[in-house]
Amino acid sequence: MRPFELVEGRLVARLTRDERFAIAQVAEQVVELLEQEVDGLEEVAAAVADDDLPAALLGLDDVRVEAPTDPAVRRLLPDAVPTDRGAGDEFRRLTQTDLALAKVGRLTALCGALVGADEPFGTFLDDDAADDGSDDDATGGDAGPVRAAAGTDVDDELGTRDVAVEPSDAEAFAGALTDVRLVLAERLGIASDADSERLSAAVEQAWRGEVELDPRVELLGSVFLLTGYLQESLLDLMLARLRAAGPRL
Amino acid sequence: MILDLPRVRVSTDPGGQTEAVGGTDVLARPEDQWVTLVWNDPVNLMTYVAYVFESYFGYPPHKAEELMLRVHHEGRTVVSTGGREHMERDVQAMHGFGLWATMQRAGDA
Repeated sequence: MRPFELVEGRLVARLTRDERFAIAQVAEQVVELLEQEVDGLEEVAAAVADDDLPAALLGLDDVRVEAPTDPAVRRLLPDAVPTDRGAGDEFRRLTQTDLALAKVGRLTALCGALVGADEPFGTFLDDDAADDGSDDDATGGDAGPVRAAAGTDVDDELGTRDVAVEPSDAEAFAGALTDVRLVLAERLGIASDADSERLSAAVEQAWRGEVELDPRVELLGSVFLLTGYLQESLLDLMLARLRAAGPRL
Repeated sequence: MILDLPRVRVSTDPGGQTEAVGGTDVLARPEDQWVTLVWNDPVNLMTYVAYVFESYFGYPPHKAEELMLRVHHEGRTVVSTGGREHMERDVQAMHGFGLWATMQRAGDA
């Protein structure tokens, strides 16, 4: 992975296929979690996608808004007023569906930025299916079907590609990475800075082949670290840009 | 805990409406004052938290950094103060950014 850099006015990182697909896979599962835990979210999302505002509003009216039970989703949609149950429930009723919808939108955009329309993302879990039976990708002889939606392709044997983010989309991209990291942290049991440091050290050792981790911990832990590096480099550029714009009046 | 009131800049626009900037609702009476708290978490990067405070609240870098460090070292801090609806907007925005935020009456902080 090469962290985000400013390239011709856009924020561009470079990731291998495994890196891109692993992050996209987790992001997709966060969307699924939100849809499972937030009642009526899929229906409202579909109505919004169809530009059917009346149906979307009706959908919102019908929904009984309850606090998510999955602790990871609960972290994405936390209790706003812990000192006042009634006020907290009211806040949730008014904001939860909107908030979840916004999170789903930007997580979906994150997946879109990571996976090219031409790539067989669905087969990622079937070991090596993406590389099966052809070396078309590697030779690049017929480059037709191997083009990412955005950016310059490298398209080496590792499926390395540029992931480009417009400055106006950077906040949403960083927010989606945050949601991915919050869910991963809950699943990996990261409850303190020390936990986070222990996990980072273990995953980096596993990358160097010095220790063997449970494969699921290594996968989720790798995505946690990768998204952290990506976010850090993205944030440096975002902060520089924000400060260059001067104080807000 | 001493309430940390964000700075207020009042500007008068040509329409004559007065607008408070910087997180404080100047018209709210003291008994209606609420605060937005941001809590520490082991996931969000310090630069991200500082970015959110600068970008969303419009705080200058040194102020954003000070608040971020207070969240990190003290576990939580007040990031804005104002009427209830104003704080609802701030908390919703913080949740949008993925920060762990809550609100409560100013007297309970």
